[in-house]
Amino acid sequence: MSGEPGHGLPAGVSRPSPLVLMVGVMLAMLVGAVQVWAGISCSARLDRQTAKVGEQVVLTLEVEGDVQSIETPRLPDFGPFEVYGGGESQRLSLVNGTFHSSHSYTWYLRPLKAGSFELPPIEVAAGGQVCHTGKLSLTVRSGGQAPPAASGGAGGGASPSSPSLGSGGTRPSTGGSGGPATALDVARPGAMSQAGRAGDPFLVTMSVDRDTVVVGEQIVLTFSFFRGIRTSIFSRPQYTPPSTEGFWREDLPPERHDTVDVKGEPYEVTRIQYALFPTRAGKLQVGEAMVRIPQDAFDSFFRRSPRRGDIVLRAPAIPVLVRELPPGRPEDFSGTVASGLHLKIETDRNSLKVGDALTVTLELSGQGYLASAGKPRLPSLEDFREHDSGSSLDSRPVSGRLQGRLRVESLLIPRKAGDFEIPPVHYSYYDTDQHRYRTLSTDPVPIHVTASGEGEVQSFATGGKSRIEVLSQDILHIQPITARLRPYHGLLLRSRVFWAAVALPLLLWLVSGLLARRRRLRLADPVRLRAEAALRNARRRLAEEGDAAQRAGEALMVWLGDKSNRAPAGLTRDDMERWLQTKGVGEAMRREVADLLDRVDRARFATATSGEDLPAVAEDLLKRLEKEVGRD
Amino acid sequence: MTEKRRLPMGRHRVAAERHLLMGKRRLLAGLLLLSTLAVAVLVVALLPTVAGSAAVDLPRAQERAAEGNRAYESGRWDDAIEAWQQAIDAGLDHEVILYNLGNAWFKKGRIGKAILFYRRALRMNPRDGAARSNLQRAMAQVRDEALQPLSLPIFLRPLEWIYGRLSLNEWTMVSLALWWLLILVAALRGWWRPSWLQGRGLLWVFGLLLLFAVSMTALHLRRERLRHEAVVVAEEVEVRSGPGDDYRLSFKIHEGLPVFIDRREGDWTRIHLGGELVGWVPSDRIEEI
Repeated sequence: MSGEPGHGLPAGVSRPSPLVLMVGVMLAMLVGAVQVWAGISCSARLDRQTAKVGEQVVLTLEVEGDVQSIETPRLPDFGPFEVYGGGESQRLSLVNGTFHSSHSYTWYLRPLKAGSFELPPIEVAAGGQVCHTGKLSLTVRSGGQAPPAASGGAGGGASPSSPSLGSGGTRPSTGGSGGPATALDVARPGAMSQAGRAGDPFLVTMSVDRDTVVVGEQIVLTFSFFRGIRTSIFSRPQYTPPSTEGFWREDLPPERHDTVDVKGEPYEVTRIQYALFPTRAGKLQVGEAMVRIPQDAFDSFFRRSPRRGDIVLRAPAIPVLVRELPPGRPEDFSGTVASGLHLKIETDRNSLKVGDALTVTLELSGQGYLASAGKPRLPSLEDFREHDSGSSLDSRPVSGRLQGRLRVESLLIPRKAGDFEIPPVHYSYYDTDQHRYRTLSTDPVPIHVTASGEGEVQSFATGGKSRIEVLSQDILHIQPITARLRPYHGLLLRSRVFWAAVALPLLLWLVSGLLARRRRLRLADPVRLRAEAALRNARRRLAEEGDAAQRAGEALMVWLGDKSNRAPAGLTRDDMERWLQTKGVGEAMRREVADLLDRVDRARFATATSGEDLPAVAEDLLKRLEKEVGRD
Repeated sequence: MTEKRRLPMGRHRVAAERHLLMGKRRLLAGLLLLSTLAVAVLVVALLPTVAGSAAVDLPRAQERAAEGNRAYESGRWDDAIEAWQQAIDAGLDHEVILYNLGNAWFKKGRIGKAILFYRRALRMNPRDGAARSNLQRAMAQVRDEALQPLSLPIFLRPLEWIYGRLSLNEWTMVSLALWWLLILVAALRGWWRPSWLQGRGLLWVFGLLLLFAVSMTALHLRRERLRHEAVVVAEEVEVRSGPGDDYRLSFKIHEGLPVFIDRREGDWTRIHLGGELVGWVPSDRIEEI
């Protein structure tokens, strides 16, 4: 299949063989299959492409696949962004009979400086497979809430665990949780610690909104950094957050910036808040928090600043008394501590057929750390098969406290027809506002189930003219028995006839190959071909019409010419005699040949002599000669 | 006197001989092509009939089958089942009778048996839409969730469709026909090389088609014969950790659930449902498809 002239291919370009093309296509299909069967896909997106410094940007990561569990992804270093953990949700769905898993993660980003940024890909691992999202672009403009640096001090990477603090600049209050503040105790502290005094260029406070709680109760921890409004700093203060051993800790973004008066002195204050949830009873403490304000050489030299060395402000630790939950726990209490919880139940429909799926959603919402809360569950339903369809948790700060919404979805598949009821779902928790255990209950949900294919009238519109109503459905009817039915004879692969049919063409091919080879050999040797055809040609001459003696003579000459590979017309009697002698023909037979030729001559030229028997004599002689001389 | 063509004498006759010889070969090759094709068609068409050697009392079997239909029409499910089963025992194990049997078991409320016979009918004729439809209805009533086979990527679905259109025996016959054609083309190339046989394109085409058909046959063989699939025919079956009632109860399965047979030991059969769900059940609670 090389490129030949006239085949439309330029010289030197070979035409790809069909095998190569087929293998190429199959490889491409295989690679495609492997990619599709990788089983996991992920994508990330931002809720906006442009933001101002300090504005909150929501980063959402979607992971989908056939895997049941996905490791919580770790974010790479995003550079000048504060990152706060948001929510996570999971959803399982039944698609074409297979469970499909979908996870969604949310983070809140807060850009710290202006510029165009490219966020690196996020790596997700699940079920032994790894997936990478694409890069994300974000343009950050200045002029937002974040405090710009007074003289080039802004920027620098800030880790999520140690948010950076504003480093200078005066701006109006941005309206935090408590509006324009006028005092240090902006967070209604249950306890507070402080470093520095009113009038100092810098001071820090740390407070908790309550210092006596029960296990699992939410505490809001507020760290505030005050900078005198006339004080400039040229390097970003370094913040070390307090240790919170014995607590679950959740960040409460965003960082707030206000302007406050402290005993007549105006300060700009930056507040960072956390929600803490004690995990055990006892005397716990929130560790000290620290801010280090680096010395600036430029400032100290040119402005003759009295500052020498770094300024370090430490807010002392705050003790917190954590009590055990009171006795009298309900039987179904799973350890959830929260306030103002609500429980509701939703179904996607109330009427369905046997075998169809009904989605039931239980939603629990309220203030608290619902990530550790026990999930509400449907009671056992004998008449339904139940499958977990997934759950999602959305956790976000609302009015300075952590608020959560936990959704649990289940698929119910009815086993039989009838009227059923999803009984009330109960959920017990300890309410920290009311200081008692509460049990939430949903209303019963009626479900009407019709038999598969019955009861439910299906309608099909036919061009708007009339509607065909399907009143019931049954299995398709039996098929008639006809005389054409023939028995099934089992597997062909076990039949000898089949294997004979497989072997037969192979045999044919072998025979054909042998015959073809023989034919090629014969065509390559014209002398031998002519010699082999000698007797046949002679007989053909004998069978022709015409004078009998002439036919006999010519037949003999044709035979001799073909055998000796000479022209019959040029053969003399001496030539014939010599050739026959060379071939080992006996004298008696040579004489017979000579006699036959004599008789032919006589019959042809002497009219009295009859030559009618000569063809038969010639044929007999030729037969014997053929045998004598052989086919060589 | 008619003028007959006479052969020239001498060397000219050699060329004429060769020309005649080639003409005859072409004729022979053409005849060979036609006759082989005819034989191939004949073999493929008659193979299913001649392959079996079991003696069948066809008239009696057909009469029993017809009696089964009459019983079904009059709502006598048990009589219908008995008659059709006798027809099968007499050697007439035809897909129509298997399908009808599935219907009778369905009407009796025996979902497991119904699924069993629908699956057997579909094994013989995968294009039987009625059996497929009724099988779906029966499967919808199975209490347990059957493991779903992995679906292929969308661009490979046509292959799955092609695979499912023919039965094992049909794929075997397609393979045989392609085998004949491949050998025929190879043989013809040795005898006579017309322009359309100059290259090896046709050989590749038939070769790849044969490879595909043999792959489909092998896939069917593996799925249907080498991997023994069965259906639970009892209402509820306790699956135990060993071949006996003394072994611990592992889990329960219900009527109509397809399972795979690993091996048999006495009156017990080791089954698996895919994954780690493995155990032993009494052999009479399941039936192999």
